[in-house]
Amino acid sequence: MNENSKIEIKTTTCYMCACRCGINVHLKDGRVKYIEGNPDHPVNEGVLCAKGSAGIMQQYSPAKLTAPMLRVGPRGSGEFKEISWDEAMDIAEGKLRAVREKDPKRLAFFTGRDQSQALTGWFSAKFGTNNYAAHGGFCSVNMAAAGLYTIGGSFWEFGEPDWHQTKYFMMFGVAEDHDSNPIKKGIGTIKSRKGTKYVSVNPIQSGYAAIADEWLGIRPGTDGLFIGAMIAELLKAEKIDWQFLIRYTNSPWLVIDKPGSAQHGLFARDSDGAPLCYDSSLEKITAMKVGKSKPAMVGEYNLEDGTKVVPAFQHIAQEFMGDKYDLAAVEKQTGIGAKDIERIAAEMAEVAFSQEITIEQKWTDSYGVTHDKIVGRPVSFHAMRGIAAHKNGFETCRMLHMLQMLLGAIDGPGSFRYKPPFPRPCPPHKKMAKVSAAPMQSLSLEPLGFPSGPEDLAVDENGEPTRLDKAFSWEYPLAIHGMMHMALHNAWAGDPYKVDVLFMYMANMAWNSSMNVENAIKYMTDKDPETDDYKIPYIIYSDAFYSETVPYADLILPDTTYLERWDAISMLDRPIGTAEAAADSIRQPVLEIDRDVRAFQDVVLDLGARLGLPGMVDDEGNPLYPDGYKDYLSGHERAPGVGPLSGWRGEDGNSQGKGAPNPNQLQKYIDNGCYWEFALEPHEQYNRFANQAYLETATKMGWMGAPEPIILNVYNEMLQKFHLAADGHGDHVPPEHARARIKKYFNPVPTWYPPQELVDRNSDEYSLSALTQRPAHMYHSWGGQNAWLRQLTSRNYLYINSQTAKNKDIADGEWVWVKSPHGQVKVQVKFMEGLNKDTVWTWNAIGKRRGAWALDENSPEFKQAFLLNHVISENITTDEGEVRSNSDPVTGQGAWFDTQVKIEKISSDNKAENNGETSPMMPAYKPHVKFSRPDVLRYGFEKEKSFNEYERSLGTTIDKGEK
Amino acid sequence: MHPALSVIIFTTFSGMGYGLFIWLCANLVFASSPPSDMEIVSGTALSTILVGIGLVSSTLHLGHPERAWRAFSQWRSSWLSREGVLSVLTFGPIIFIGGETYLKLGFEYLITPMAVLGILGAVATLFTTSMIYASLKSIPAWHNNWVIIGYQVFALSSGGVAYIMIAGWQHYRLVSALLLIGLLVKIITWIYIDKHRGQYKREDALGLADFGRAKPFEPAHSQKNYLEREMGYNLCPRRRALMRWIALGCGFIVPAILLYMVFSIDILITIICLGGMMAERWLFFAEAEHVVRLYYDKDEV
Amino acid sequence: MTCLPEKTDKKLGLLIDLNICVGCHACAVNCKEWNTSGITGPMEDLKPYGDDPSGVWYNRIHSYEFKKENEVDRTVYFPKPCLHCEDAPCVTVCPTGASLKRSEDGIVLVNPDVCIGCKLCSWACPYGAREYDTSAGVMQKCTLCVDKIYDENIPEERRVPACVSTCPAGARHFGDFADPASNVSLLAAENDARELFPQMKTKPVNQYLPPRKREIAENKKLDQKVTNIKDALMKWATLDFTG
Ligand SMILES: Nc1nc2c(c(=O)[nH]1)N[C@H]1C(S)=C(S)[C@@H](COP(=O)(O)OP(=O)(O)OC[C@H]3O[C@@H](n4cnc5c(=O)[nH]c(N)nc54)[C@H](O)[C@@H]3O)O[C@H]1N2
Ligand SMILES: Nc1nc2c(c(=O)[nH]1)N[C@H]1C(S)=C(S)[C@@H](COP(=O)(O)OP(=O)(O)OC[C@H]3O[C@@H](n4cnc5c(=O)[nH]c(N)nc54)[C@H](O)[C@@H]3O)O[C@H]1N2
Ligand code: SF4
Ligand code: SF4
Ligand code: SF4
Ligand code: SF4
Ligand code: SF4
Ligand SMILES: [Mo]
Repeated sequence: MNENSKIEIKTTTCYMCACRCGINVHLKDGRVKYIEGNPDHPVNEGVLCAKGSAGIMQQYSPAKLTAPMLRVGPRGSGEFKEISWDEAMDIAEGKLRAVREKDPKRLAFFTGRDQSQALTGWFSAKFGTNNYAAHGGFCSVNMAAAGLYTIGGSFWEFGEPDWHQTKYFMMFGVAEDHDSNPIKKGIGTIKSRKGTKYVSVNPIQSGYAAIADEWLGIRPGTDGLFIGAMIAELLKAEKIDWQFLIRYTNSPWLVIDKPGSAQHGLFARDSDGAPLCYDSSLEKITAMKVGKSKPAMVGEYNLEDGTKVVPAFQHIAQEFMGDKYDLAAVEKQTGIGAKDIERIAAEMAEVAFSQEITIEQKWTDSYGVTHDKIVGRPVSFHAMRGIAAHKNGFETCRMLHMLQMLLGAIDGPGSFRYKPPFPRPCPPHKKMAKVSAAPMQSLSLEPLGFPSGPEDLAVDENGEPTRLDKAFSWEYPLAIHGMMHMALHNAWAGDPYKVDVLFMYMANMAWNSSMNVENAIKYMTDKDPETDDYKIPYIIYSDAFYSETVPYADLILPDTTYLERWDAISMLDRPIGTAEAAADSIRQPVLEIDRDVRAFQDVVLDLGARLGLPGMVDDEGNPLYPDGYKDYLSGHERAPGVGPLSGWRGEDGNSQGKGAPNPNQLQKYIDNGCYWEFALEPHEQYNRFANQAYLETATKMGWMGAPEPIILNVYNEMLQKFHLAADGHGDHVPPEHARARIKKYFNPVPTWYPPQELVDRNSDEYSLSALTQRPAHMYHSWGGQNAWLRQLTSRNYLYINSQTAKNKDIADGEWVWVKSPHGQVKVQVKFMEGLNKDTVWTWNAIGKRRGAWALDENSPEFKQAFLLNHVISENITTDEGEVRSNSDPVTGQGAWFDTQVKIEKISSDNKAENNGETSPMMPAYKPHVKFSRPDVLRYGFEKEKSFNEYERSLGTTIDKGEK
Repeated sequence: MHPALSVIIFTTFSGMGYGLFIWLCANLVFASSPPSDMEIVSGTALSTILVGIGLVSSTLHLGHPERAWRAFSQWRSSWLSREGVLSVLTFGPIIFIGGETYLKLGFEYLITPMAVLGILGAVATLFTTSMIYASLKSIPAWHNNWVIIGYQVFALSSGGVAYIMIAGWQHYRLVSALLLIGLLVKIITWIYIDKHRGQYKREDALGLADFGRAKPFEPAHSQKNYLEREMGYNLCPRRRALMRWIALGCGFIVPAILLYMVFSIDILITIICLGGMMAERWLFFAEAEHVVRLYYDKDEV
Repeated sequence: MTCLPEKTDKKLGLLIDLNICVGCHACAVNCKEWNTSGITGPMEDLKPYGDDPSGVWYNRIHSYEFKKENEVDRTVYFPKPCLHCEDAPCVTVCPTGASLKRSEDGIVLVNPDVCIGCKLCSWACPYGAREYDTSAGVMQKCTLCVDKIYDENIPEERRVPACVSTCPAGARHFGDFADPASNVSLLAAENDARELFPQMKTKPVNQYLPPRKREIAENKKLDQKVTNIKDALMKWATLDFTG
């Protein structure tokens, strides 16, 4: 017997970040003793990161909200009074009902780190507003959109490198990523295997980049050039997988070449709509038949009517073998040596084409051919916000997929592999609502989806945005995750219109998730002189902690912590599958709630029921899910047989994917460690875009509408449709002001262009790129309240290349101003060598606002730490004088990493500025409660035995020393 | 090393106390005219007080003073334990000599043997004290014979000054000579440690000497931890120079000169000397760099 | 007890792979989480929500930038727990016997019921592996998770130190260095394992694998079959892509 015998272990899912690892929570006397990774869980297989390991301290954070609150002082003051849930729900219900009766779109519902988007999006649709999005629009939508519109999948929840078999791995711009533990496990695997090379492309050599076998300290925003130059090398050496391109991509498809016509740049198709190719053995144009046609990849041909056509591949060759990717020019722009580019292209080609991996496994493709083996080109990639969070990010991400396609390195052994339910058709078939509903009506489509042409945009008859954030408009047509970063600004400006209620959840919009703090605060506190009311009249916010945003809300709906509630990581949202298996999971409450707080999902369902929203009440108007989210998780059907959870469906619990609701479903999950996993058969695991067995399984499971092959888009016809629309073709053309822009940025073949800041009038003055990285042990702002995590990092510095600093006469440890055209912030500098010379950087979201997070007013987070967001902006003015969102022109992705700054010394006689403190230092909130903060924390449990007895009880013989 | 007052007091006071006691005992054993009862009683009393202050102060430095008795147990391996045992044992002769002289219980025939034992005990205690420090390989400034010599010499010189205060001026030349020897030892020690600074490099500590020069990137934790607070003392050169002059001046030169001049207020000389010794001991810690700093802010130690 | 055992039956310890460590601090936090409720916990936190937060950690992750001539500087993360030295000076200096090295497996521990908090062991340790707990007035340190690795309630394969089972990158290995056939001994032998600070003559049990040398081939380059788009289009027009 020992101390552990009284421990109860419960499984659930971590939510110290969005990685969704499985955890075993050890409980003793109703308190958490230890949290460890669940060894059986598909995501983390037993490991646990620093954040996950600090879950105990999150649970015992003094910043936890304890009861609903109603604002009594001015916005931002922090003056609240606590109210009852009845009162809070009455107020919220009243506000929402008024909106719904008047005009549903006047509710803007924006949720941040939401893992229940299948619920919140559905709620918005039922409410009738299309002003709904989560944080994805400012996060990494470029990566997601480029992937979904090119290869039907992407990185992170969409796919992963084949960590176990790859022989050449290249990672672009990743500090941490959502797949936090799987990536670490993966890199660890690669690094413990001899003969696999890992190349990191990142301006900063830290974290993952530190252990790379080769580090390329690229200049930010120029990856497209580097990738393009490698593509050019491969093309020139003919080191490309022609067979892959012909079978699985649209490279051989003929593209109409008729400038000025409405068909220019579109695929030539036969009367059945089948794409055409030029069959070089038949020497004529025929419908492309994979496996039968012998298509030409280049050349000029003529359709029967004489229209000139060329294979799509020729457009690729023309783009990448042009001057733009000339090695010398690329070297100059990227800072990566021409020799290195040549070498890396050669290494890659060598691995792809001379070190193929062959698996003896029969599989049948969608074209009826049975192959007796699976061949893989073991070159793999992973990329994230480093290439996504730029205004040219969509194109760069597409280019990376282009490189993968040319190498034939997609979903084969050793390459990138999809995670089910991906791949999906490109683009996925799900369409979104184009306008909000009429009063008291619901939407039939959800607010977010995938446009497949200009006709799908969410615009009014004048071509102007119907959404508050302008997503899916001619401004940002493929903003498939919405544009949360514009919500505050647009609501404040009344552009395109005003809203009555802003409802937010789990997003620190008054601080680190706004692109500019001062602006965000202004938008929330400005009053309309006419009404003397706030320009954003009512703000409802759900947080679990006293974050910087809490003081700006009018009504606070305090949430539970992740250890106290039910949750689902659903196939309808962002499931947890691996390349080999589909999977989803739940969170179960492992601790009793000890405050007057409620799970937000329960609150949403309750609000829906009170408002009588369809799907949330029965015919009599009674709540359909009286027990809240728990009921909903097993009871709700999105479509017949399809619900939030895929495991143990059907009344008997024996169905997977689809099946009737099962009242015992949650218990089944709990019995299985809170996750469900559905392994794919070995012959279903590769080439899934055209793997017939897989596609059939996917259809059966409800992941696909039909078992049809997914054509990978080397050439993106849909983008050309936008281009044509900008030329005035078709029924849906952009308004005048958007035309030039659409023409410039919508192109079927990916290309590189410099982000605005690299070329505009300020580029000489503001010559340094300013980046942030996520610390592995902090999750945005919410890690900073954690007694253990904040000991690791409670302040940040601005890292600068020592050579750059010396040229500017800046000393290690000096306090300086960082200035951009948008703002300034005072920071302490630290030298670093492994850093691109044109780049400065800091850790993200370490700086906090005084009064928030229950920290002492003199905490380093307030006084020495800083937020880079002071010098970023959600709007920029182009050289043409146009004020635009600081976002990718195609997807609306927030371009955090295009920030350009200069550094100014503080004169040594300026005592006031040389005070060793950051600036701006905003006034402290005055929270209405006094947080109870211990001076000494000694978390643990009473000892039941003396050390000697305990040690003796450990099953070892004790005969120490003095032998 | 962080110069903690408790440890400074411990070593300087007990050093002076034992030094004084050695002088007393030496006079008991060897002097042609043995010390007066008054001298013995006040000498042993002062020794007791000084050593007592030292020990109490060192105990106060503990996290668990009430468990201090446990420190006697590991004399087979630990110099600190040995020091504890010896210092307590040495109290025997001190108390005996003082008590017998004062109370006259009839054991005066034991005084001389006890004085011999007292000398041995005090010298041994001082030796063990010095070995607590000199045995630490992790602190190069301490890990040398000069530290051992220093502890003996400084105890004798400062104890000698105190002895003069009690026993009058007859040995003042000897004491001033000892002070000058102390001065010399201290200077040599400084030269020695300055010369041996930098023998360990960060790359040694990391076991990665073949990877080039290492400089710290991100600290393990943003704020200082116990190790940095305890071992990370930064002495600025001006402060060091000042303290060195104070240590040399007050600890050795001024007392030697005053003794030579037969300065009338002898208690003042003792206080000055003790102050000087405390400055010396302050420097002893403040100047000593622990190799753990290689993992933190020092390129070499 | 303060005497060191002449020989320990096993030499349990950690092998830390600097080639793999990404400096994520998972091991540090998980260590704290396990051990604060463990045999020598709690591990205090001072001013946990205050102006100068600090506390007891049995494992801290340092990082360094290495500069070598003609090479790109490289960043190395460096986790550092107690090394469970064979000739552990922290043990021999201890006056109370609170510091001990177990003869059966070589684990170095502090008995918090006996320690007087004299701090001498922390001075003696060259590696900074000892942590003083001001609230308890005793010294603390890495226990090698002695209360986890021998806990029979834990499935056998999980009976490894918290930092090892949690490390997402797999940079930490646990085993018996006395057994030449153990995982750690084999890895150490194959990979040029390093001992920290050999000059201190403490004979650490823990060892470190160095970062993998970066070997960058010179002037490797693909043979160009076509040099410009015009030639390419001409040549590819006649290629038979069916292969
Ligand atoms: N400079 C710079 N700024 C950036 C970025 C950058 O790279 N550089 N990255 C951007 C990106 S990609 C993102 S995604 C955003 C992230 O920014 P945010 O999404 O704002 O992330 P957090 O700061 O973690 O804020 C989430 C909020 O959720 C609250 N919360 C935590 N747990 C719970 C819970 O269980 N329930 C509820 N209701 N609330 C909870 C937290 O208290 C916090 O207030 O930051 C953006 N900001
Ligand atoms: N621990 C932890 N994990 C997290 C989060 C967290 O806060 N903490 N946040 C989560 C969220 S919301 C997100 S969006 C993900 C983001 O995960 P990441 O994409 O890893 O996000 P960042 O930390 O912003 O890192 C961006 C990286 O890109 C590099 N970079 C910047 N510009 C360029 C460029 O032009 N080219 C190249 N090649 N590299 C560039 C930066 O140096 C940095 O290393 O992480 C998620 N995971
Ligand atoms: S990566 Fe860490 S914080 Fe995120 S879910 Fe996994 S264990 Fe939790
Ligand atoms: S958990 Fe592993 S990778 Fe992370 S710091 Fe520790 S040893 Fe390094
Ligand atoms: S590392 Fe330090 S504490 Fe650990 S055994 Fe060695 S000397 Fe002792
Ligand atoms: S602090 Fe405790 S363990 Fe360390 S030497 Fe002193 S008594 Fe021994
Ligand atoms: S072995 Fe245990 S106590 Fe030691 S560092 Fe690892 S987790 Fe901490
Ligand atoms: Mo994000």
